[in-house]
Amino acid sequence: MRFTSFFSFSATILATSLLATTAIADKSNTLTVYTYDSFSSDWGPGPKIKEDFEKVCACELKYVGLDSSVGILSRIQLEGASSKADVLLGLDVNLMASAEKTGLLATHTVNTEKVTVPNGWNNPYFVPFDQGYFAFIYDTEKLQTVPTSLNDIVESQDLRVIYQDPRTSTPGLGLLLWMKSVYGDKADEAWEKLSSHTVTVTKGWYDGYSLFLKGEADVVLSYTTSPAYHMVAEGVNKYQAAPASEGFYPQVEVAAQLKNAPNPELAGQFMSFILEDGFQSHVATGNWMFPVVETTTPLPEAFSSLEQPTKVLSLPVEDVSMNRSVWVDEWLEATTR
Amino acid sequence: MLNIDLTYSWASFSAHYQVNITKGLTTLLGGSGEGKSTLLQLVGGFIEGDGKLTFEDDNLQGMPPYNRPITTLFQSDNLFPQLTVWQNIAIGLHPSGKLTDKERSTVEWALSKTQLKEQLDKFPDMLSGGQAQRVALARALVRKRPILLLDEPFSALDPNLREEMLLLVADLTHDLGLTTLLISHHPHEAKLAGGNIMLIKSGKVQVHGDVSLLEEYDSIPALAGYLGPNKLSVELG
Amino acid sequence: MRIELSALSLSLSQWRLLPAFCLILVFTLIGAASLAALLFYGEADRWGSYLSSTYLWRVVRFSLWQALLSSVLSIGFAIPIASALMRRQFFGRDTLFQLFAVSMVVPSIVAILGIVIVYGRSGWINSWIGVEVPLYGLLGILLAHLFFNLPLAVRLLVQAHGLIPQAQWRLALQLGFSRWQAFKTIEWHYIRKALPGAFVLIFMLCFSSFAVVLSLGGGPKSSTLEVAIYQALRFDFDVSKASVLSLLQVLICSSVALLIYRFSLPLKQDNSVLTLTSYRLKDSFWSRLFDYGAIAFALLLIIPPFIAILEPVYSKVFWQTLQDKKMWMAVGVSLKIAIPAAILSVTLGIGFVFVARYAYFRPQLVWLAKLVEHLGSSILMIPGLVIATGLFLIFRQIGWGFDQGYWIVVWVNGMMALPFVLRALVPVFYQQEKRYRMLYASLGIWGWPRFLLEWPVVRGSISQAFGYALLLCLGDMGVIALFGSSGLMSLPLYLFQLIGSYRLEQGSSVAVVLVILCVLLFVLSTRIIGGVSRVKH
Repeated sequence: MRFTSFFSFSATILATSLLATTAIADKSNTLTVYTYDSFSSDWGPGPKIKEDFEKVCACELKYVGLDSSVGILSRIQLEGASSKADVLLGLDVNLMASAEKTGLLATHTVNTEKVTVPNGWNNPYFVPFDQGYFAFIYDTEKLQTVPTSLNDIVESQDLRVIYQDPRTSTPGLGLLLWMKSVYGDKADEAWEKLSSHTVTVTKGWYDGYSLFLKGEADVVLSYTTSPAYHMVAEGVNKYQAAPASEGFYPQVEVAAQLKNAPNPELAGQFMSFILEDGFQSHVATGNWMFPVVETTTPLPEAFSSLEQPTKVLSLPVEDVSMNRSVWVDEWLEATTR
Repeated sequence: MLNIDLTYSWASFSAHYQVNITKGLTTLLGGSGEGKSTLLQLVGGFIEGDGKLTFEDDNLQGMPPYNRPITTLFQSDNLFPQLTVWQNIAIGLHPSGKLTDKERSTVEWALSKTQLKEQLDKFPDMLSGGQAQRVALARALVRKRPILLLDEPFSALDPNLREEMLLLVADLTHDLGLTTLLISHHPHEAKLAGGNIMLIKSGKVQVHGDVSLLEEYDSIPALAGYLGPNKLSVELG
Repeated sequence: MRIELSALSLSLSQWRLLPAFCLILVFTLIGAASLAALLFYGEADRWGSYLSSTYLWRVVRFSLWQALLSSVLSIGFAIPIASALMRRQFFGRDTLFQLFAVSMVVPSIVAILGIVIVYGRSGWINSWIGVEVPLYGLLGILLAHLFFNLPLAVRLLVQAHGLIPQAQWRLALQLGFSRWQAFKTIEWHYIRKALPGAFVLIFMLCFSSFAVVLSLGGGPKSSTLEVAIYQALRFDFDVSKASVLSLLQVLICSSVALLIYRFSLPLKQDNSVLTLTSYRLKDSFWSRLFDYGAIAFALLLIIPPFIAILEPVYSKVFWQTLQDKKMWMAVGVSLKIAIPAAILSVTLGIGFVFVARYAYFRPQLVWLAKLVEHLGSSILMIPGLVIATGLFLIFRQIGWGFDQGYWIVVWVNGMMALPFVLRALVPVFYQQEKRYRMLYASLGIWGWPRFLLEWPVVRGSISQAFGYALLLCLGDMGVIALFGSSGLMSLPLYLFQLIGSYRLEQGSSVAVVLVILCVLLFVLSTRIIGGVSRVKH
């Protein structure tokens, strides 16, 4: 008796969930944006940007939140030309080559002259929307001798370091490129030195950062903007980014329109909107990154206290896409010796 | 002498057994659900009753089953299916199954008494029902406990085999000087085995005495009631 | 004549199993097709090159080593712990048991943080005793794997323990068995039957473990094939490489499984039908010491990380999280996925055991039983991400898009839980078959009516199976992450989203909610399906 009632109960649940998924929204005036989920989450910049954009477009902006930057790319790789997405928002600059190779992207018409990313911006497919620099974060209350360069971090044998795996995470890949641009052909030696005092190499950013917050390491690979979060959202000032005299390696996040976008006009409008105030002013405290253009609203005070790069390192995107797997192998070889 | 004065209640059933049992074979008779098995379980220590239980003036009450001078043979499940015949008997001497030479010969003796010499490497699932119960009996022999309780262990066997086993038990009881309590549903078996009978009804010992009482059932209302109008079984035996 | 007759009845009863066979067929087809879809997505000529990397084989060697150690330790410790738990009654025993069911579904990052809070540099052990545990490396991996799998092993063994007929304890009582003798003569014979299955299950879980191995492994020296598969599929979109590596993983795990099953011994079961009453066996100081020692060891190993995980309960953030509407919506989504997936999984599982048990006790069909059993477990060897991706590629061929994402998530989750469901169902269904198959055959009862008759006896195990499936699907994030969208934000995804935007404290609070929800659902499903009497062990 109990058994049968249980089954009818579950059948009801099945039926209602079926109804819920088959109810498809009206798509005629909807812009679909694929992004990573911390961007579209309530505390991310997504909701405010949606609000601002909907004011000017007379449309509905719909985010599809995916698990990561790479997740956005694999999603359209899987969907191919049948994708219902109009815009991809949140690809890392180092994923541009793979994204372009899919042949699914459309060229944009946005004027990117005022973009302030290092070395300027000139790319027919992608528009940058925020930027930052990879950096090692430390706890000022715990670490006495603060490293002043990437070399310091590599050489200090008693410094406990956590970073992310370049095979599975964007910051990890960032460090790979940072190391390559600082050490060049000697990168493998540097990796070997670093590996002797590495606590662990984690799968993703949050694994490593959480371990650091729990006190497992002296420094963790993150962004120069990370301290701003602790200052603004938590009122905690003890976390700071270690300076790097060789220069920082930048991260730039980009957006692109799809060739088969169901709603190309709206998509084009959104691509231009990316560089406007309605978008850029939410980047800082929403995504904890720097905007890519001068905004009219000033950045929160915390941002001005952040470590500024003395020099910006950068490897050409083509080199990166060509050599990435070789460099990953080099890293693997050096750290597993 | 086994002295029993025990009460036991469970759900709507309540029993009070008062009886003194002498050495030799005693057959427990009585209808189903009258409390024969309960008495055996109380004596064996598998359920705990109130009152007194002594054997040769030693108190048995409160003693765990393995310390009582008793071996019980159940209706079924007397063997470990995962052990061989030899091992099943050997654990009666030592739970570890490791034996000295002298103990080995004890097992050999029990095997020959129960005619199991050919079966010692077999597993229980390869034995017939009669053989399986003989293994259990052989274990009871090697344990050398003075009291043997038999809860219808032969009820599943065919009549010839059952009688054979019964005579074996009777012989062993006599030879080894055991105090044996045997539950049976067949009055003629009691006659066959000899010794005493005991009639249990509603959790009480109604009749207790020599097996010859069965011949005079007419004068004993309780026995007459149990045997019923069809006394053929007694006469047949 | 007799042979002909039995052959006839055989084929007749095989037809009766048709629905069950269909379930197995669908399951196998979908599993194989999704792998094949991936395999043939790319060019076949590059397959060889994927396997020629020395690093790959170093990873395989390390994976084998850590998985072997993890499973041997989990099972090795579980044997005395399970035995002690069955024998001793103490306060909080049932709660401990429920908690044991939950540990395997704690999201890996939460478990890792729990372990770090206890054993890490700023952890409890270091601050109380002043001993810094060399956590990062094999030790950390083993600690985490024990946290996940020791409780699972204990539960599986306790279940096997429950199959010991009461008559055996009665005999042991009469013969005055000591603790050790009872273990050796009785328990071991029953526990042993559950060992190969439990071992293979845990081995597969550890072999494909991902986040734990990376985070606690201390560097890329500690890695698993799963990492390479993830990298190939996500970062390089090298679909065929991912599938070749998955195939390699299937191959390795199957070989280990075959090896284990080869050396596992045939079962000896008896036909006792006595009801359950408990007897107190001969006890001694040493056996008490041993039992409570084993239980204390389990508590020391499992409980501290749990306390660390549950610690946020005392924070203000936790209570704020409880008022978070989004979190409750995520709970809703999780249930919407987990309940149908668990029903699917148990239905599949019953189909599997019906066929397996039918074949098991017929000498000429034993191979089929083994095959079916292994088929059901083999799904664990293929990463969920691979199955989901493969399914997606198939669906795209048919013309379905991500609109069907929900059903893919449900189906894949249901499939992934099957190995656990089978471990819970197989022992009791085999025992039923062994004891009563003649009776059922003579009365001509089969199929649904037979299931209804067996229900009182098997419902306990079915409730366990359902509980496991429910919890696993609730904790899933691999599959749902691929198909994720704003509409399908499950609780674990929400948790990762929080941690992914610096909100570690809030994320930890969500983890507490997840753990509590799991315990509640597990208790609930064992009560509703298992009946009250089966809850006590």
